[in-house]
Amino acid sequence: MCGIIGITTEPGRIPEHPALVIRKGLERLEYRGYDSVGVASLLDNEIIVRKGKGKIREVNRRKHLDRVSGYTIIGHTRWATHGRPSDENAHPHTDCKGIIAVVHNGIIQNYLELREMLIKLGHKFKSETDTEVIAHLMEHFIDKGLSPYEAFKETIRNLKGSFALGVIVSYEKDKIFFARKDSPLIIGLGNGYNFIASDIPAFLEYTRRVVVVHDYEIGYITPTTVHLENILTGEVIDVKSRTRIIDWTPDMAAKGGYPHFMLKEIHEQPRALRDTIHGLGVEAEQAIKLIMNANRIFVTAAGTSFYAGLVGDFLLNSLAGYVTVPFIASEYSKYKNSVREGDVLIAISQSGETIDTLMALRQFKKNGAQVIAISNVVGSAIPRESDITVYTRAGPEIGVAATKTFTTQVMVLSWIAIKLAYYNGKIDKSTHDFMLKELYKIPELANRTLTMVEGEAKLIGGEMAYKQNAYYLGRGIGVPIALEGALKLKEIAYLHAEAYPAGESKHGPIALVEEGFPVMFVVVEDEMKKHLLGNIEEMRARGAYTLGVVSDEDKEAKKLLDKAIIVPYVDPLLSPMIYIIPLQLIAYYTAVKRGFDPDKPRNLAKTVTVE
Amino acid sequence: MSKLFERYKAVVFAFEDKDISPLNINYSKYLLRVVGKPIIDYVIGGLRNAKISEIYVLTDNERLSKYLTETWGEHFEENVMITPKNKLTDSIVELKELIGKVPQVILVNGELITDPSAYKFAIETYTTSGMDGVFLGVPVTDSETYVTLISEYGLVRDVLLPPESAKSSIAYGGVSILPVSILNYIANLNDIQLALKKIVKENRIIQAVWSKHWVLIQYPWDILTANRLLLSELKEKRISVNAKIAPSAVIEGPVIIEGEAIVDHNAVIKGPAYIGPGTLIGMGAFIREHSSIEEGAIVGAYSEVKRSSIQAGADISSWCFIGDSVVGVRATLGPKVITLNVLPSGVKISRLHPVKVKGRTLTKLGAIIGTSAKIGACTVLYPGAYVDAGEWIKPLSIVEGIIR
Repeated sequence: MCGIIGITTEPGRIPEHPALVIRKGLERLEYRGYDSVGVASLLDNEIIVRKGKGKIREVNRRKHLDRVSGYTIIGHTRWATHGRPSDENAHPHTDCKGIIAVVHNGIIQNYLELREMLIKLGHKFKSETDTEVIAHLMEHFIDKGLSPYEAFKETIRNLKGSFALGVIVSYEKDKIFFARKDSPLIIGLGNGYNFIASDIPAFLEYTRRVVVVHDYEIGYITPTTVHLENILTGEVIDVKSRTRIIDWTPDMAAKGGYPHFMLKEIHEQPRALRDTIHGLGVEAEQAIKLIMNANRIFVTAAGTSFYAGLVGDFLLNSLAGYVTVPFIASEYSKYKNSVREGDVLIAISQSGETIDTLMALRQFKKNGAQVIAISNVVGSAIPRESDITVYTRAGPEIGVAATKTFTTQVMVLSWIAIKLAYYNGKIDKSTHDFMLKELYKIPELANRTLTMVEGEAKLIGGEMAYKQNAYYLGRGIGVPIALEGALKLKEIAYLHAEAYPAGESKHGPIALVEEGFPVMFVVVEDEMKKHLLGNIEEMRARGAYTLGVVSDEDKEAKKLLDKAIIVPYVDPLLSPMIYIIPLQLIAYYTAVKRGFDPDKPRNLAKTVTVE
Repeated sequence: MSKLFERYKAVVFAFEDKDISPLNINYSKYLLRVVGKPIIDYVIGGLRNAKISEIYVLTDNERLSKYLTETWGEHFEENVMITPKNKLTDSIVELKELIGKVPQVILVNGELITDPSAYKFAIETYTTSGMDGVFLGVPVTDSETYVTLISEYGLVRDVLLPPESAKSSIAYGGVSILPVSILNYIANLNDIQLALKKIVKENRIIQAVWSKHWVLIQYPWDILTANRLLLSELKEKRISVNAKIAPSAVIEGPVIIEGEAIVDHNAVIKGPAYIGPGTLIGMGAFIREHSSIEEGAIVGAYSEVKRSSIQAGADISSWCFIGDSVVGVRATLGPKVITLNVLPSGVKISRLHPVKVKGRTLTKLGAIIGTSAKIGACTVLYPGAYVDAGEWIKPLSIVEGIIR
């Protein structure tokens, strides 16, 4: 996800300097990405590009983005997908001659072929991004003698993937070309000036008249006109009939039809999981090799990532047959003297900046260990200092409580564990193929789970809102699921929730259980299930209010529990990605019912950068 | 505002329904009151709040149309179309002419009670999504009684009608913004739900998930659910200066008491509760939480009302117990009428959730008493009893529960 914006104006029509308008717009698009930023301006048949790595404020201090001259400007705020965040990889990208500048949100799937072809034709690439091919391809068509707009159209026809584009050409005064497929793009209509942007808030201060561009639509804006046409049919679209007026501040715009970011991110999980599993490549294979040659394996992380790590730990042990040592990142000093060369550390961090994980990583590196990082932010501190990084492709996560990053981290770890189990001879080829097939089905199953469980989760959330405590219990792979579910409830609903292996009940915690005490069971369909059923009985006998997440193939637990949430059947080893969804939803609806904002829990920060 | 940028136009469907009878017989379902306001007022008020002023109503009830004109302004005279539910074609054609050329319309279910911000939420989602339309989606249990949505990555792929609808737990929330071609579909198919099913196949429609309070009034006990949801949002007492409260009356917790209400000596009102204008709460009466006594109703001396809806003009005599019940408009209950409200175990009623009382799980539903019914003294009404509109029940009767 990235954010793009563009303005073209007649001199003096907009109350502020156009470059300042762009900078303000970019700040409002920061939720779409913030690892690098840049602008390109059209001035006297020349294109000026200013861009750099970092947040808008930092880059602005260095490069003075808001002082660039010109009345036609495009801007971009980046969330890296191809190529790490750096000054070169920041948008806008230009062609060889510097007459075309492109900002792009999305992913060009066929960029490698296009890049090879263009390099053969003599084009020189300056960055590692997929976007740069657009500029060179357009240059290629212009060189062939097409007019800029025709060349732009031809370029779009050759692109595969998703994109929202803004393009300026040095000798096309006052014009911004745009096109959209599968990424959002909005036109803002002003009086003597027009905008394009990824989202409405970017220009809402200056105009409330908007036109939403649909897929496969292409066109250009000038300060006074808008040309919009469908590239497939060639039909020119009447902009006036498409114009809508925004009557109020759409603070929900960024949330895409959800009342909170957290709910949006919970619902995004099927897509995030799909992108993650399809994005696994060479790095994941390298990570597997590293683990296979490792002397000992350690897993570290903090918070939700640690629970994802515990799932990984369980899979590596029980499936792949490797002994792993999981530890909470801030407790790294324990291993100061025991770690040595040949050991491998798997460090998991959503942001890649978590200070505890980073400190642990540095300690291990100092002792000569090698590090595999799993992160969601390309080029962040932990990936930079690691030997190998496997990225989850969850997209930016705004809600402080981690949701989609947990499931995608588990996805990566499951994939690695299945492969390792096969290479290690613990499972045969057919089991390996079958499990991978099941893993590829998880995104679809997650989607079905969301459809199935949300009503029940809302109802349970409404009940939990009036409780003070809760236990979350599981066995085997159910333990990390319970831990993560309880953490969610603590984080956003401010309910005291505790999770532990169900077998521990008798050794103390059960003393607290009294009439109506809610106990949530994670009933996974594995060989430990019969013991868990015994634990349910135990809790019932003491008057606990027993709840449970059970699969739709279950027969026994449903009857025992006061309330069961049914999820689709899934292989027990892959269950965390499915079973956690109702628990996330319960925490969300409990928080909403209690009147708290789940996106901004008190005392918490998204990325913990202090020890 | 220039003609180019016409505002949104809303079409409200308000047809009578069998599921809520006998409460709507000789009356209208949409005029039944929930915490002081007729159901239709929640819809019209919500739309007005979202700055939608052009509202068209399709109904089969003249009483409703008269009410709208009297309360919401004379333009409703034109904007209300009276038509039978199964003969929509002609009135839709007429409606299309009235609406004129707009790209989309807002369709609203007249039985919806929700937070007014739901309408804004739907419109915002629509304006910013770039899709062809939006459905408000609400997570529910008992989804087999609702129309539900099947979505994939946020886009609605199918609309499921009962009983098939149990496959999804996201109910259609009663508000949608759809391409104006939906009106053609309704006219051709003569059915709103089938038209919704058809339009999602041909357009890209996004789902907006709604997490605040929300009820569709389709069964009599939905009124009780709506009362409970709305009343539990009350945080403080609000007592009109024109209400007459006896010095010995006890008013505890968040309670609204409207003007001209009389609360007599030793009456006890436990919030959250609503006491409408012109009501009389007799001496020693006991109004318990989540009760709503609507305009002009009377609760006689020493009667107890618990989690019930007493509709406008109903008259409850002395020494009655009314629990988890809906008493219809202008119904009269003689002295010592008792409703029993614990359903036998094993009886399941859709959208009615069991409660835990002292460790036991109970499902509670009292009686549903129709418009202008008269119930003689000392009658006992079994759980889930229905009394038809206008029915006379002689004193000392026992009315068995008829659960449909």
